[in-house]
Amino acid sequence: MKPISKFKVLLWKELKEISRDKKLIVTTILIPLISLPAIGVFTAALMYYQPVVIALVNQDNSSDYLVKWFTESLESGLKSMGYVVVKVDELGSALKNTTVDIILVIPRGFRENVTSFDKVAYVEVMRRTGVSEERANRAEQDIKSVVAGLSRDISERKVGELASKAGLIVYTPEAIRNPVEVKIPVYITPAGEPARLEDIVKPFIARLLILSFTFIVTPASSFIVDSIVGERERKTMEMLLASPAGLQDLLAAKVVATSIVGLLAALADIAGLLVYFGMLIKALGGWFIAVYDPGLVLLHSLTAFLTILITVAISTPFITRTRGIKTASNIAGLLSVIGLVFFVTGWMVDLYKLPRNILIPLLIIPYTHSVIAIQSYVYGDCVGSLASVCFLAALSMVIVTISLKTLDREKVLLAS
Amino acid sequence: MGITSVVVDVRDVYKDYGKIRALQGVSISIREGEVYGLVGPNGAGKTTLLRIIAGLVKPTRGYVKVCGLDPYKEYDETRRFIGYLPEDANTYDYLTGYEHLLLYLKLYGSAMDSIEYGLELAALGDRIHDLAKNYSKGMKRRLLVAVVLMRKPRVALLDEPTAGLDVHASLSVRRAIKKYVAETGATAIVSSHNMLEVEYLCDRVGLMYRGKVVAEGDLEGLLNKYGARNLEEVFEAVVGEHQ
Repeated sequence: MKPISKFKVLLWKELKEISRDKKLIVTTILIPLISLPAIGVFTAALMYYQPVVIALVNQDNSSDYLVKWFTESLESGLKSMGYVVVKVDELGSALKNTTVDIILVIPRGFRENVTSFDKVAYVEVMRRTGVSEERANRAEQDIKSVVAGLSRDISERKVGELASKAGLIVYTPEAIRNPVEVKIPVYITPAGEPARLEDIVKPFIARLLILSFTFIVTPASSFIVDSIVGERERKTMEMLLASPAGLQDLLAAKVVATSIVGLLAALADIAGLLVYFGMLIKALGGWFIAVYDPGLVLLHSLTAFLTILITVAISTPFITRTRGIKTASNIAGLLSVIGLVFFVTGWMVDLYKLPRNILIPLLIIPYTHSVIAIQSYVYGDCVGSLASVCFLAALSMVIVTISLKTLDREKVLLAS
Repeated sequence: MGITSVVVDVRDVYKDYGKIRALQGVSISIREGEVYGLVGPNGAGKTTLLRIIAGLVKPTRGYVKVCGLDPYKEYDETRRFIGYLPEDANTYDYLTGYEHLLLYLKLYGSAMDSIEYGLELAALGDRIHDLAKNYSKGMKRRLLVAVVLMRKPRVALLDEPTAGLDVHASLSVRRAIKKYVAETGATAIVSSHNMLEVEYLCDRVGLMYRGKVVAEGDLEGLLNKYGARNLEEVFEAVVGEHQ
């Protein structure tokens, strides 16, 4: 019997075992399928039910119509954005009320300043520490946007008043108060074409896919731990080692079977993401099919498979020499953390655009290629993407070979 | 008996695991068709010795030949005539009994008709097609004995083949081994704590203690030498001498 046949027999054994463990299959699919959509939906839902509380303190005692209009408009504007706005008479009580996240103060002299031609009126903003940074930042932006809208109305009135004093007719007061403005950005594709909604969403999906490698690599590490250390602890390893099956065949079958399970997880992962974004696109008036890119699906699956293959290949020599399943899990976990660092970085940083002196050392780490493969594709650089995948495949083969060559039967049997 | 009839030849074998010396100068010769019993307390070195003969573990020093070949250095060549059942070996939960037989048959590249003999030794009837996770301990052990013996290896190494089994299950495993040896004329080394088992199965016995073979011979010779009524008393006397 040729060696390849033994590998096939062992792979058949591994896959048979995996495919009959229904709980394993269900959880392998379910974890990546629901992880990202659940994070998205859960976060959005909870943020909706836990809005930012804004206290509005009016210290300007004047009963002027303008101040009243400004305060009421500010309150209604923020309420329409989903914020809870409470009017508080004294600043002290707003400060003591811990349910208040942000305090807006209309200070004394506000009316005088807002109606003058040589002074600026300020609205003071106080942010309480400990409030979610993301929520508070968004609230601050919304406050600035509402105040800017009200400020524009006031300035238009002032421009009208000045123009009438000067005997001028101003048709567009905005041309005087804000003569240069940035237009709403127009999105273009990497090829320079006008971007459609799905073109804007796809890079976001791709970045999430990079992040989602974490949900695939971590369980794959656990699988290989169970496959090697678990088999030894379940006392099924020694008979296999005593058989004519080559050690390389034996471990290679485990590495490949684990990677196939990982591939299943990768497909579930991409399915979950597409459904999630499909729902978002549909809500925005687009079509689910718009976010479906077969090329990206194929690339993600291939990259995920190779990323898992490399992860298990690197961890195999260490895991094999480890006696207990707990230590082996920790070793695999350590590798997953390295992956996590790169996948989170890939979510936020365009690795392929980094200066060469920074990028080249990073290319030693296989996960850099996993990230670049996806990022290059989304940027329209299919050749670069293919090069990264090929490099990843070649590196996988080298690491698998080196990993398997460092082992012998006694080390595997005795975990020495 | 001529030199050619020695199938397993172990001479002055040592094995160290770090600072621990598991075997110290073990020498045994086992002839063709002989069933050799290895007895001794836990930690005596029985499993290490069997692993060395199986080619899984490299001796620190010494000479080991099985059918004239070094089982560690000539690993692939020796696979065809060595069958090894490890201590506490277990089955795969999600493979059927039949698939276990098939798996090892394919790995050894044996002819498919060997499976008939495997089915006979396993004696699991229709349950051979059940997943092994649903087998009792005795059924699992019988299946594994069948896996090892179905391709009729010239040398069968059986480490505690009935450990942890009840009386009925032990008896059925012993019968399977006895049947195999009688039908094939193969050589077997059986390690056991169970003196009755050794008396039932073995032609010759080696008593191991602290990494050494401290007494060796056929059952009758050992009983006479130590004035004992059974192997248990021989064991007690030998261990007492070496403490």
